[in-house]
Amino acid sequence: MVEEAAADPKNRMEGAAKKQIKSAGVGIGYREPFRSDLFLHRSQVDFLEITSDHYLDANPRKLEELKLLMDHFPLIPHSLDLSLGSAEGVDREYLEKLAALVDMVQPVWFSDHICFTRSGGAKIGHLAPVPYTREALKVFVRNIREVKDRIKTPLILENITYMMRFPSSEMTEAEFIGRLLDETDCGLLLDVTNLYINSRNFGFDWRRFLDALPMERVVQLHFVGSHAHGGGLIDAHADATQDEIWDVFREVCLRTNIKGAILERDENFPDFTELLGELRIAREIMRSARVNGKAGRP
Amino acid sequence: MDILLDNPLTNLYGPYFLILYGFTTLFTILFFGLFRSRLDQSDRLPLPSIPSDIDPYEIAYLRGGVNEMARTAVFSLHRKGLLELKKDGKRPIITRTSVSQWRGMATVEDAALNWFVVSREPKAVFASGGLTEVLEPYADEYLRRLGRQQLIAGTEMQKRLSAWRLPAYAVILALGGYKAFASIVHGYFNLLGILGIAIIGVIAVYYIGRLPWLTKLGKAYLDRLRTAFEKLRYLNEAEKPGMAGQQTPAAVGGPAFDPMLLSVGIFGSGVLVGTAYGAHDDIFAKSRKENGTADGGSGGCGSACSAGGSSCSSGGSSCSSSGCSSGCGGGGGCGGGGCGGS
Repeated sequence: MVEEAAADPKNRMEGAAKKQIKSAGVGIGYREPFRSDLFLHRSQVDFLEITSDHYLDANPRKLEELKLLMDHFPLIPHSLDLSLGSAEGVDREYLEKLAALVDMVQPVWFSDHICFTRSGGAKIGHLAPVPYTREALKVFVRNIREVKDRIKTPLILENITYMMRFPSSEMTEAEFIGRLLDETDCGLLLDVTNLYINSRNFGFDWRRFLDALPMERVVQLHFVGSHAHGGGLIDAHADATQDEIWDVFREVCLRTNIKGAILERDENFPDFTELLGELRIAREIMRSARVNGKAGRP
Repeated sequence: MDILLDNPLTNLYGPYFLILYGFTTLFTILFFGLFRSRLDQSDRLPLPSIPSDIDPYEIAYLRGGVNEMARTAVFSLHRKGLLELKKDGKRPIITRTSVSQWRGMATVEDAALNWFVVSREPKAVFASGGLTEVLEPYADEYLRRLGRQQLIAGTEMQKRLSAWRLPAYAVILALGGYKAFASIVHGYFNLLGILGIAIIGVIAVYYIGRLPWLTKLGKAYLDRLRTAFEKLRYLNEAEKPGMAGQQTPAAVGGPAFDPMLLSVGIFGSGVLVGTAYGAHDDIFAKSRKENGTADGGSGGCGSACSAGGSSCSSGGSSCSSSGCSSGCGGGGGCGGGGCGGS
């Protein structure tokens, strides 16, 4: 099945598609408290990433908000609950709603996570990692094929943080992601904060992780500060991006041409001008890497 | 002549005529109302995008005509420290401060500041020869632009409605008047029924014949602005006394205009209540009461009244004329977040 999916010409779109996707620039994950500031500083935000799940059963107020955003910003839907790693398959109802949203928004790509969020028909409420096995890979490929059959817009997949590793894994995370992207021809939404957090929590070198990834598949980045908690780091989306994470960001930009980057901030909101400052840094790193072939410190 | 006074209509039994007259009047009102509702087809147009260089004065004008522009300009000059609000005994007055210049002032503000060459009472802003007259040339530009975009009911729409108002009056008054005349000639003087129906009909046509200031598209656009900038309604709560004259924006990497000014432009001076600029709303509310003008109503409006100048009957052109400025154009007293009040 894995081979079939990879061989199917209609699924072979991402590799070439990445080259065709126009650069989206630097944007921010849309949260309602940002709305007025976004309109006050529109010229400084290139695009927005919306949480798809907030609009799948939109009431008239949310629908109006979506139309307002659509009319003024390029939007990228980012979903949380496709549960591409679920052995039971993708929830059809959810997929249909997501397809309708993507059809309405007409984004250049949409994204979800390399994880599972449903098991035995129940939502488990968080992004859960899978063991990096051939069996899990087959599940992902099968599910992603179903999604791509329904939604023709390019799908990109995001790496997540995890608090444990499965002893049963047959390959490393980077190898798993690499094979998954190759076999499904999807792009990668590389969350550099997640990568940095995992590298710190599990003591591996994030540069080596990047060495093992098919960097040409990286389409978009997520970034935000990490948060110290219980002797480790967590992805709380509540802190300003630290220098160490900018280093990862910069390294990725040096290695490949990024189409877009999104600042994800969900809590502990600072003055919006501080967030705009982070967007400026990201933009400068991307510009510098693209123009000079190397990313200078802003 | 006999046929005029002696025919099936004039001889119709009184109660039957009242039924006929009532239905005729009702039909006329409904026909006229239907015509009015079909006159405004602007909701078929796409909602305009919010410009990135949004003009707070244009939005203030959209919300309530030249009166709202004047209130917004006075607030902006006050915030810049160029004007101050004082009390002369019990009378509030607006006077210039020793600060004479502000870099990058809008032309509307320049014109407004020049008008305050002497101290003025708030009600003078809207009186003959007042600030509203000074701002008319700027308002006319907004009127043309917003009219072209079909966001406000333009003069053309008003003319078309007026063209049908006279025939509606004529039907109601002619039928009732004719029957009344014939009845008097025949010695019947109980005309209360006819009179009642005629009065109700005329009043109904009069009210239906008043176009709201905003078209359907204009109302939707103003709602969109209020949704987009909703947070600005509460931004002002952070303003502490003593901050008057301090601008927040471009110097610290903010937008090119003052968000608080935009807030007043979109929501009205009611958003200033409870801030360091609360007196601004207060003095205009008081002057409205003194003037007895019709554009206010701070107690009865607010966020629920989103249509802005909905009670400003004559709409576009007639409202922007100076003769109407104190009684109209004020957004019907509603500013979403507060009532203007002249």
